[in-house]
Amino acid sequence: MKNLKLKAARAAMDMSQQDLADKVGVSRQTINSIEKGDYNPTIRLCIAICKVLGKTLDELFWDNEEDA
Amino acid sequence: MKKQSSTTFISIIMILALVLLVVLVSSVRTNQDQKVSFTSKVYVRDIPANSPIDSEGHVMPSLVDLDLPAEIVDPENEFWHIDCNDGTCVVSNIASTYFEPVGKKATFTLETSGQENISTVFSITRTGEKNDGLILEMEDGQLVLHGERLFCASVADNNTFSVTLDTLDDSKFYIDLVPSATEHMTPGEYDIHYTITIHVDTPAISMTTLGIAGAFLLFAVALILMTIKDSKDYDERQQAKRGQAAMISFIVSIVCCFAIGIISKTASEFPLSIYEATFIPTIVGVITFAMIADINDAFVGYNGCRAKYIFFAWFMTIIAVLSALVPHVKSKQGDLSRSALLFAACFGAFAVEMTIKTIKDRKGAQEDEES
Repeated sequence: MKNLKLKAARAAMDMSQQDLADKVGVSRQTINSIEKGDYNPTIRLCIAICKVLGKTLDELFWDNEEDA
Repeated sequence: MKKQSSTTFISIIMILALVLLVVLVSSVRTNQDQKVSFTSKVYVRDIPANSPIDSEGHVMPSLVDLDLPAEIVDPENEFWHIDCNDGTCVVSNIASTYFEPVGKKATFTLETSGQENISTVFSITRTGEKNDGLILEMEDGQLVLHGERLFCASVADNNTFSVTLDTLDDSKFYIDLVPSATEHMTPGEYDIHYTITIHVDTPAISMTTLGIAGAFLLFAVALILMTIKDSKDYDERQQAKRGQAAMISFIVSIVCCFAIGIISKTASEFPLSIYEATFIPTIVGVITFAMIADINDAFVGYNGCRAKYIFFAWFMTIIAVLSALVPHVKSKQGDLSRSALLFAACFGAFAVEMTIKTIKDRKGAQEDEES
């Protein structure tokens, strides 16, 4: 399942996948995999992404049924 | 971090155990002598009148003229040897004893007992490399052993004779025994009993083995430390994918080993040298790991430079292709051209995969920028 919330939050901050990857300390492909829903990140990586994007875990990673 | 330290510790313990095993195996002294005992029937006959004489002046009577039992006179029977001396012919059929020693020196001991007037010509012949097929051939009605005669002596009845020879790696040794009359004898049938003992002397610990084990230990420890240090350059997804790639490549290597083992058992002529048989699973496993890791964006760390790996892969491919094209490059371990071609194929596949992957990644990054 695609993580559109993450993609939207990143785009809102005018960041590319590479920019976010560099700030979080992962590869661009890892961010791409998370956005495409191919990879489930650990809680540690989720927190790091949230901190960079200024969001909470719920805002980026909580799966609301109405969003699905 | 704690988990990493324990993994390092366990890895080092395993390598030390492996090296210890290598040293122990190499230090085992081969003390078990090989002993072959048998009794051979010899037929003693007077030299028939009008027997032909060969170019060297030896009397060469035929089996038919020697009044021997019917089964011996059978022309299909090739294994009878006739030795004529002092008016007496001794007819025997002792087959060559074949031996491939593993060690530095081998001591061959022959004990004879049976008939006091019959001595035995004890000879040892080397036939070169293990793969050599030349052994026995019929020449002018006589069985001839081809190879380098290392030693030949006459051993009298009730005597023991020993000779120590260098094993000369990759050699086959054939021990031949030919009974011969030392003086004129009454015609009849006699039983001669032989005991051949072979003792192979292997040094307690080979310095070469110790050196190889030490170098291997250093290399393995350095490799593990480097891998642990490098693992910090991979993010969590990459580490997981590298783990999967390692597991798959390990299985591929094991399958290769099994396949080679089955081929070696079933094929009439095993097409690979030992060097190739060990090299193929290793290189196939390494390249499988590299390709699977790279397909999952996990071969190069997230701060690493792909360009140097692509350059390295193409460089290795070109070097391997060039060395494969050099004609008649052969070594003791096998055909180097064939190994180089395999090396080129593996690195070529990896280089192509990395290049395609890089082009696709650039497109993906561009699409991300545009979105």
